[in-house]
Amino acid sequence: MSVLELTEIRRVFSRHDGALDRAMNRVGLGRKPQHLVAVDDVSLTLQQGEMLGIVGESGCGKSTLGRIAAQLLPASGGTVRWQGQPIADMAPRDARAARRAIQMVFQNPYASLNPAMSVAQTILEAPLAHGLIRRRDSAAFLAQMLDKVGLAPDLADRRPHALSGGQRQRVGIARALAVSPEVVIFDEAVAALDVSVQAQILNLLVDLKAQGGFASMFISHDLNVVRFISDRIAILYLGRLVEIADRDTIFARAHHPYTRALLAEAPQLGGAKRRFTALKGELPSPLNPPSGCHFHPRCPHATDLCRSTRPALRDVGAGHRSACHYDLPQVAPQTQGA
Amino acid sequence: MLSVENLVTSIAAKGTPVVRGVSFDVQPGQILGVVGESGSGKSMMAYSLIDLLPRGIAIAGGRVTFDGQDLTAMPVAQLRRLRGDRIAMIFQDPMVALNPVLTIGEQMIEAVLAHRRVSRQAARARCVEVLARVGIPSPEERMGAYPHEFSGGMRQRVVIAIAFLNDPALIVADEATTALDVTIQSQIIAEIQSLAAETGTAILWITHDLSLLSGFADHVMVMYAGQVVETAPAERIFAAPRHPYTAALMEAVPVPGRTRLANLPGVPPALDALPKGCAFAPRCPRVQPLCREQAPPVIQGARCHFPLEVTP
Amino acid sequence: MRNAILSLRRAPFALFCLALFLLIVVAALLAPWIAPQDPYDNAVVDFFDSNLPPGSPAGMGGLTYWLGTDALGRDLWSAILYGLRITLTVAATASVLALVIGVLAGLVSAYAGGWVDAVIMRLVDILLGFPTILVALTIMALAGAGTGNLILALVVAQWPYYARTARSAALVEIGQDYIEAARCLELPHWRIILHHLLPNSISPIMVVLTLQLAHAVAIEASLSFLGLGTSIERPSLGLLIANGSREILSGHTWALIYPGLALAMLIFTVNVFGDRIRRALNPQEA
Ligand SMILES: Nc1ncnc2c1ncn2[C@@H]1O[C@H](COP(=O)(O)OP(=O)(O)OP(=O)(O)O)[C@@H](O)[C@H]1O
Ligand SMILES: Nc1ncnc2c1ncn2[C@@H]1O[C@H](COP(=O)(O)OP(=O)(O)OP(=O)(O)O)[C@@H](O)[C@H]1O
Ligand code: SF4
Ligand code: SF4
Ligand SMILES: [Mg+2]
Ligand SMILES: [Mg+2]
Repeated sequence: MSVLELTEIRRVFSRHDGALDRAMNRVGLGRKPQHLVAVDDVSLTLQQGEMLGIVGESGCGKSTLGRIAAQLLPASGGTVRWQGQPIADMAPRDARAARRAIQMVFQNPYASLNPAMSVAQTILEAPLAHGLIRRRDSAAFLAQMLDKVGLAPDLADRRPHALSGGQRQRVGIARALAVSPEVVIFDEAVAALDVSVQAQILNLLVDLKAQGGFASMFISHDLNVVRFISDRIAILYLGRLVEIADRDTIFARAHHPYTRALLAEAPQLGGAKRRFTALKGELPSPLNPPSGCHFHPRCPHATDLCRSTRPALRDVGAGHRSACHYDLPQVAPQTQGA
Repeated sequence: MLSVENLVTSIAAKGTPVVRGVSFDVQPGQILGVVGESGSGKSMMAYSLIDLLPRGIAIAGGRVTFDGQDLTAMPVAQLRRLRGDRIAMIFQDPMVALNPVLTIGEQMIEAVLAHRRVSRQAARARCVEVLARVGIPSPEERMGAYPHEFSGGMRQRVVIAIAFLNDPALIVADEATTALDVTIQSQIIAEIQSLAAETGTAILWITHDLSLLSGFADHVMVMYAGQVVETAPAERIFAAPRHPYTAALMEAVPVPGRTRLANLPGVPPALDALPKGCAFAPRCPRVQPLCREQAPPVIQGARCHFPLEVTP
Repeated sequence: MRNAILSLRRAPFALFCLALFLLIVVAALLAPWIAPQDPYDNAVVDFFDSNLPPGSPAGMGGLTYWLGTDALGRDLWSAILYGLRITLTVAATASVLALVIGVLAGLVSAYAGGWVDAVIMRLVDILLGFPTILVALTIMALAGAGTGNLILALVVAQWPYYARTARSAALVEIGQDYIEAARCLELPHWRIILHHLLPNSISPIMVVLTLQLAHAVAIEASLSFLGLGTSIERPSLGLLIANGSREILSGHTWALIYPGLALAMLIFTVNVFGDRIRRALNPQEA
């Protein structure tokens, strides 16, 4: 069953589009309004208990999508459904409950904890404020949460500045789990960590996932990490969903040329020394995206159709969807790391 | 060409060493990868080479020889001339190297004129050529743009272009692509590779990303707590690491097929409270009583009492 | 903030000023116990001792007027201590009230954004557009003299400074992920403002407090000097100075010099260590 369903989510950021600018424009003096489509008609469903990886390059709208899913940012269009019901149509009480059931873990372990609050305060604040636990049970609850994320009990009274990056990230995870969420959105949750600490946190996530209890979106730019942790993977490019499939399908039979390029460029440990031959061209500015298929200026297979017409996200195999006009043959078997 | 012998760099006030006896050589055209976790002293080691250490941190011993000249004994003015000409530097944050109030063109032309006696037009032509080379589209127009008008990736390319300007003999790159996207990173590394191959520029490439080095470095140096714990040709170190830390790092990287990563417990030691003996001992899976007593010797490139056997 | 205070240790002059300021405050607080005379008690003040130069003995009793007396025969040293007490009480009360109102307004403004922000900030801009003394004067002119109105005038004149500082500090914090996390946890808004924003925006506000405290003392003195402040019988430092300035032509310079010195010392010491803390918190400016 799907817990969270995003339908045709769109988010536009506008500059120079205030009331004043519009009035000025009418008399021909205003600045030209700029519209940035950060998320462009993305539809996704999150199934019970699964971990969906969201991959894409910087600025492609991953965080924006995550924040919309977590109800931290309103969408400009589209619907977010919680257990089948649009959150926007819910009674305020239910909407609050739904929002609380969707939690987020952030990238920067330094900025994501309140520097003035101890570990215990950080973890206990929300469950106490919402009456999920009683004050006299809080010590036991805290011990349980600390244990769950692998933090020593004697860290409870520390402030963030006295914690390592990995410990902070564990606190951030505990804070989210403390309100018993049903969906957790990890936005680059291991990106700022050292390899050894990243491994500790990834192992923790694997364990938490095995214990069940929540579905999650794992946002990352690192294909290796996403491959390690996710059940399904969605690839975004300039605000659009270009491909989505389960993990092994993506790595074995990527359909979209962009996905293929990403797979080819991701550094592989143990990969032989090679000449880097990158995809040509810059990531285009989202303020001024290419026409048709956003990927066409960099795509080796682009045609006139690609330049003029946006490819629809279409089914290319069981649950495997891709937004490319063509079914291009696999160039080389996508065995990674060879 | 660059030769570092037993370099020691310390926080002057407390005498805490941040680089503890690092030695290595770089040959022309060689790409030497330096890898290590945060705080292992990679940046401090690099800054020691070119006198960019932050205030309060200073070289406390050792020699740095570049083209036969001892850099540690060189007058500051001469070193400054060397920097940006024979030795170029690329940092993670491109804004460190770019002046926000000058156009890209102005900065680049200045960088050429500071070291070359050529006309402004010639300098300008050189800048446009190098910008095109690092993949800046319509470089002629972009010369008039300010740094803030570029995306992060484009800015870093401008910095790399500035580093290329004077055909340096050595480029020191500290986490130069860490903030960039993989496809952009690949483009930049492709440029670095061809520069090293064509002009014989040596590259000291500092990163925390082992996987990246495995596709591109000739030689790899692994740092831990201010020391080099293992150094070896890239093929050897990736095929068969000898030092337990190198091995643990590699097992902590998610690679296809792994369902669990090596749990290297704990964090690196504080440099002012280093354990006696081997600095890695508190986290090492192979630790023996001897390790806690005696600093390990370097055996076949690995600083360890009990290195892993190499299976032939 | 703690670092800023610690850094005072490396600034002996600022530390000296802090000590001097604290000494002045303590002296003012203890005025009834350390002043040789109660200058408000007509039974004690001897009118025949008016305008005596410093060091004169009192006409009656064993008192020596070390700083002389004023036109009403009050011991100037005692009058200064009591005047300091009034000045400091008014300035501190007004500063604390202005801080509470301003900080709340600033935090709410930053957190709510939108039209709330626009309204509060427009008001702040308007008030800041006029010289503080003019705003305070206007309030006094409308409300009339008296200690309560004096405090009101100071609060109206000063809260915008706190509001603006609190808002900009809070805006920096609002960009941080921990505020986002708090919103995600559906914590009540007041809780996010008081528990998350306030503690992390406090340092720059404390700097403004030190600077505005000095400012409040100066404004209070100015208003009293203009006769808009405290009552004649219980003169604040500013009124003492005003009275003293009337004696200057008669050659009774001490009645102006000593209260003036006290005021200058007070303002100067607060400014020096406040400035030091500000620089410690903003290393770029140092
Ligand atoms: N509040 C905002 N106002 C204006 N533009 C925004 C805002 N937030 C995001 N954007 C723009 O929307 C686009 C998508 O941003 P987003 O942060 O979602 O990307 P991302 O995929 O998370 O990137 P990264 O990997 O760098 O975190 C970017 O071009 C960004 O500049
Ligand atoms: N300005 C400074 N003053 C004092 N100590 C410093 C300073 N800069 C760095 N250090 C210390 O020097 C040691 C080595 O730091 P360095 O920056 O070289 O590490 P690094 O390997 O480059 O790490 P990273 O991957 O985080 O860049 C660290 O313990 C760090 O705390
Ligand atoms: S639609 Fe065309 S341009 Fe886009 S990815 Fe497919 S082939 Fe390339
Ligand atoms: S010396 Fe001992 S503790 Fe250190 S790395 Fe080798 S085996 Fe481990
Ligand atoms: Mg993001
Ligand atoms: Mg570094």
